[in-house]
Amino acid sequence: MSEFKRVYRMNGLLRFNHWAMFVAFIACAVTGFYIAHPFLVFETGEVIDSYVMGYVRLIHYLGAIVLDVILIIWIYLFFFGRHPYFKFIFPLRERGKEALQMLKHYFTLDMKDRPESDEDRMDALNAWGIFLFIIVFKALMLITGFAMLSPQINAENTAIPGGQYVFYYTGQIAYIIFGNLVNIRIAHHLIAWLMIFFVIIHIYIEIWREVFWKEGDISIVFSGHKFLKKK
Amino acid sequence: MEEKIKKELKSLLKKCDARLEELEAEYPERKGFMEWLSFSGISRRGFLKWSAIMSATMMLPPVFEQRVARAAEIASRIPVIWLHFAECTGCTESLLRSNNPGVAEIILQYLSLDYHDTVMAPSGESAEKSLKDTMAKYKGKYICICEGSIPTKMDGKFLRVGSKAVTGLEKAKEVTKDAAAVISIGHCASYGGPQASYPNPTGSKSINDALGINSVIIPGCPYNSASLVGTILYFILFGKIPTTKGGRPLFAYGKRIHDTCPRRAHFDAGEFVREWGDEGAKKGFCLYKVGCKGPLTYNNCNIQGWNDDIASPIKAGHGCIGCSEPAFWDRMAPLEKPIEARILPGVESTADHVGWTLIGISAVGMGVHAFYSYFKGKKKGYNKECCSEHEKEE
Repeated sequence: MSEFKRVYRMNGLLRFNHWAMFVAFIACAVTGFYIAHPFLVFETGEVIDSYVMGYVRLIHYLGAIVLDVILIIWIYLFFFGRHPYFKFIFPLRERGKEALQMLKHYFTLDMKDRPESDEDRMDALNAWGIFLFIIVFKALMLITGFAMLSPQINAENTAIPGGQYVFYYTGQIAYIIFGNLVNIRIAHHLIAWLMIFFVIIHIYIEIWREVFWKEGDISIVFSGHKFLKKK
Repeated sequence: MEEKIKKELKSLLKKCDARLEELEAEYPERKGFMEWLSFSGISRRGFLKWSAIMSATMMLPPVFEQRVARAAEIASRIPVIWLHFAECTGCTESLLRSNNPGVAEIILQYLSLDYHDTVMAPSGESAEKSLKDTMAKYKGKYICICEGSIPTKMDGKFLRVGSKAVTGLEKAKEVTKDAAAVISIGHCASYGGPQASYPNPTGSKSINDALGINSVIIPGCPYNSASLVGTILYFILFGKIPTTKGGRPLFAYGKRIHDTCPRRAHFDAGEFVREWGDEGAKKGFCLYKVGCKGPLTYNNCNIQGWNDDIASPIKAGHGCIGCSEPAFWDRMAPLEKPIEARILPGVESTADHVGWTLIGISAVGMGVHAFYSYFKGKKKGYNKECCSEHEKEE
């Protein structure tokens, strides 16, 4: 029997972050598609009887709040976090080389190509994915979403004093990037599709790792640990 | 806080009164405005009511009501030159053909319209002469209202106007040079209109882009006459008009159609018209599913409608088509489907098609990769090093 050691990969907060994002993302995706194409139509004729779109939008916004808070915490930790993990997600040059090597490994299946992985460190390709998904896509979703919501936000209906300015000026960034409200609307929809694409690939790769590496990768996100062969 | 606002309001009123007196002295008095109103079926009481509605439309407090009435009287004295360029004359028609003309329409008809291609009596040489005379007589005092976009390719030869066949570009340059204010009305003058949509063979441009000036724009197809009169009144009262980022007057284009919509409750309730003429359409449900572009459009149709506030597209049962947004012909199409059905330039398919294609690509890619990994792994004796003991056990 080869010796396996149990290594620690994700701490409690990161696992919580993962599952909070899981729930919020699914909520946002389902409600988002309903808002884009209202597939359930209610015809009671009395608006007091149903508040479907209202609740759907409420869930969409609650999910968005979770995702946005996570994004802001990640950006904060990226600059001020002491743990090397947060700096690691930024795609620097040496990380790029490592990521390409990892990509090569997925096709050659050669263990020699697989970058050395030890405790408290994921591979660079994964880090790239986290950077793209958590920072880039979510930041774009935040600014496009705020741009679409900002006309409804005024001093009377924000919980935070001055919240309308936050919405307005964040939304203006989206206007600078995408030009107009129609493009912002389409961009929000397209980035949602990109995120779904990304999630599918992520699930596939995790299952692939579980099957081909035989190191118990999927349990990382539940228990925080995986197994590595002792050398 | 309240005292500060009161102080500000007082100084504003003072300024406003001084400006009104100045303007009354500047422009010669023109008798018969009230008679014309009563002839058109508007009593004095009706006129004052209209002033109250107008000051509310312009988002001014009630103290301004009498000043608005005064400004309306001054507005009838200011000479106006109304130019037509590449357009359908629909903006003028919407004004002239109003079934039950309100005060706004009457003021626009009574405006000292010294030159208006569609409604003036003279034609040919004499029309040109009246234009020249007005420009010479009221140099720097007249308001120029532009309707329609200006073709710019081939030196603007796509558009020739009048007996001397001057191009629209030349005429616009000549008239706007000495104007006190330039107002561009309608979608064509504001953003170029359908003739400026892709591929734009005539090189049509909005007034601001073609002439390089900074006029106030009142987009809409057609524009709302209340917005035009409101802008003129605002100009008379304060001298300048607070605008949104794109140059539209803030009082009319500050709010989104979706947020002021009379059918908004049906949107929140999830009650939608599925197709034209169904049960939902009869009950007046939300038009989002049949392509209402209200969530993307800024205008005041729902606050101050057309034809004496009787009608607006959504009240009439068709969704908003976004006619007061830049390049709506390109961006908002297809007009009777939700914005997701838009054909994206470059990929020539909708956003959902792009999404499903991505999912398809990922599914095929994952399948191929899984099979590849399985067979390659078998051939290579994959994980032999890693799990050799494990295999021995088997």
